[in-house]
Amino acid sequence: MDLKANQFDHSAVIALKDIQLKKAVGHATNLADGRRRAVMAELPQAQALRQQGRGAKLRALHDLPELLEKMERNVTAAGGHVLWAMDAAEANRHIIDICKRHNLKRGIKSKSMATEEIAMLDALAAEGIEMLESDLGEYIVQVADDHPSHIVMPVMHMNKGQVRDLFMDRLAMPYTDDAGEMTAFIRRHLRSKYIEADFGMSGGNFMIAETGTVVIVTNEGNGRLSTSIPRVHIAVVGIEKIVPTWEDFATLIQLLPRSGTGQRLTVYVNGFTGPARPGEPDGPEEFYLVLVDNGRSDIYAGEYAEALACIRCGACQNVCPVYKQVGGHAYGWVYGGPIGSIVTPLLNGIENAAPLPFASSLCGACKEACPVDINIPDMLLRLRHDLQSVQDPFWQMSMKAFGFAFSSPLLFELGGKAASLASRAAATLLGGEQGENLSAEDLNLPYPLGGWTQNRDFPPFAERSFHDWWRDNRDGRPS
Amino acid sequence: MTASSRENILGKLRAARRPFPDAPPRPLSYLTVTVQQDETPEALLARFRTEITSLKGESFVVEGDEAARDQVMALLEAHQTRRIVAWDFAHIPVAGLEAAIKAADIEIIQPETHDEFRAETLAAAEGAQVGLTGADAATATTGTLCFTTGPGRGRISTILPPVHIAVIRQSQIVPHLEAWVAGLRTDGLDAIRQRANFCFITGPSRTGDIEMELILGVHGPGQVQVIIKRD
Repeated sequence: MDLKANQFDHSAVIALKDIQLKKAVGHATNLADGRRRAVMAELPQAQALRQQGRGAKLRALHDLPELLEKMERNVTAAGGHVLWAMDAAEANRHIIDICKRHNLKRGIKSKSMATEEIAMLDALAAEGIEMLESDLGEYIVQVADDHPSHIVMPVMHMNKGQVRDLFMDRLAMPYTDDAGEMTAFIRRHLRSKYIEADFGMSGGNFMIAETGTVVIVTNEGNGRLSTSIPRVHIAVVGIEKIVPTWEDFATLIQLLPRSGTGQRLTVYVNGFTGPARPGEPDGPEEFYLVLVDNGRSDIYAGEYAEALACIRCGACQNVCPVYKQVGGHAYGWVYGGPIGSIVTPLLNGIENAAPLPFASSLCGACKEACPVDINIPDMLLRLRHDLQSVQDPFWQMSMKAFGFAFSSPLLFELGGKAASLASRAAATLLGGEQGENLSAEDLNLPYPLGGWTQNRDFPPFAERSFHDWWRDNRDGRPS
Repeated sequence: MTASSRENILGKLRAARRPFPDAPPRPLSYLTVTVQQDETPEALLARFRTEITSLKGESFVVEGDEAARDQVMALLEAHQTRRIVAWDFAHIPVAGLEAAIKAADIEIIQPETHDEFRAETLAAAEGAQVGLTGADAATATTGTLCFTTGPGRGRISTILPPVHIAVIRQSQIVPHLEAWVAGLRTDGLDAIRQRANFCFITGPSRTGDIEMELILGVHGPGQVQVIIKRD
């Protein structure tokens, strides 16, 4: 997917004017968030559980290289193959090599953000390998030649009428306004595809290192069909999805659906430990795990490693006042919303996604909703700082001066006096020139503060500073 | 290429200053996400039934093999079943069930997809109205059926047909997922290590992708019926 994050300001304005989009996204995010609140509120120890889940992810990240090696050992012991990919191109090359080795022409896959991230569909199509999305939402996206706009609800930007028109236009579906009939049409349409597919693909929501198990969650059952029937299963998973133990997994696998869709458990929690074993009647004969780095090891080594704790539930998107207004596409890449505003700059270079850290009111709703308590607002703030310091030396200098002025009570007081005098002098001077009686609040400040005073009054300095007043009125109170 | 990427990734991770040195240690005892105060068999059964009903699944409680057999046969008849895909009957806890199904002239397919008749098997399995299985366990607080694969216990019967009927014994109901995991742990997680697949199934297949409207049976079974046989 082409990166268009730098066009956020532009895309967001267009999205804001799309009434249909705003209605669809507002409806879906409000519903999802309401459901999340309801199932979290029923847990008496919800906050302690969030910390238990967070602890599991942080421990996993601390031991990441060892856990990845353990995962590899256990997958291999179970008869599977593990391939490592530094970047998107290498991940796609691995997948294409597997297809060539086993002569695989037709695939069917379940939903995966990782395959979205590496733009796998395009890479496979270029090799003449057919790949069908089977999640209803992802299938709609594929038929529409669109991109998912939400981590767990890929077509929340579309309404029923748009889906109907698309199916009628592209798939010759008979007219219906009933979502159930549309869904039944797609069920029939995709049924034979599972059986005809040479290989199935999935992402991975968790990898459990101690047994070498890759876990996916789906509500529709498409993930279980895609990975049970074809002869070969390829799972593409980001390296940060690992957890050490089954107990850690048991906590996180329940926090994920509660936060994502407001379910107590996703309908199908499906785990794979290698290919079908001797005597097992079905399941793939070959199992491949492609471990994708694609910038994650850089995040790991930097100041934002906490972003790797994300379990991709989408709760932060559903509560974000910015996301709720503009939807996911405006963010210009695979991951939208608060976590996307961190991950997109980190994975693509901050200069290539400069507006995203600012696409937030820093209200903190995302942190509060996050099932693993990721400090999203703090990271957004630090990213803003990184951007300012790399981009604008003048700003950097001003902030240094600001910092210096605030570094001691004496400097602060002197600075305050000087500013007060200067603002009054400037007002008198300008007022005199223009024949008016100006006060300080009529002033327009010079760059870089001018933008601020364009639409606001500059607050006048008090005649007398608090320091001054305090010296006179202290009167025996402790200083 | 692969070897070097492996070394590159692991090398970069190792060279980094370890994040989260103050991450909390592994808890000595984990909080369970869901809570079930009363763990008597009757309370577990009641909770399981409440949960599966709220998920739009169905449950039936029966006493003894004969009642269980009758219940399965009644459901098969209600679905106008001509063909089922099923587990090996040794793993379905109802005596005499296979004979009863055959006597009703219902075709039984136990799909085996690793031989040369794969295409024919799958085509036939696709035509089945019902999938019939046992289960490894069920969890009360989430209304979940737990499965692992093994000889005679495949995946297709749980997912391909429009209806899934599972028969369990009441004693297979555990309080919650954590209890099931604790059971695996006492055996050193062998049930996971030695089997290719585990699956938790919690109610019928569902989607909300079109305007968040709940639709059942999008790819997997739209009906999940659990028969619980009292011990």
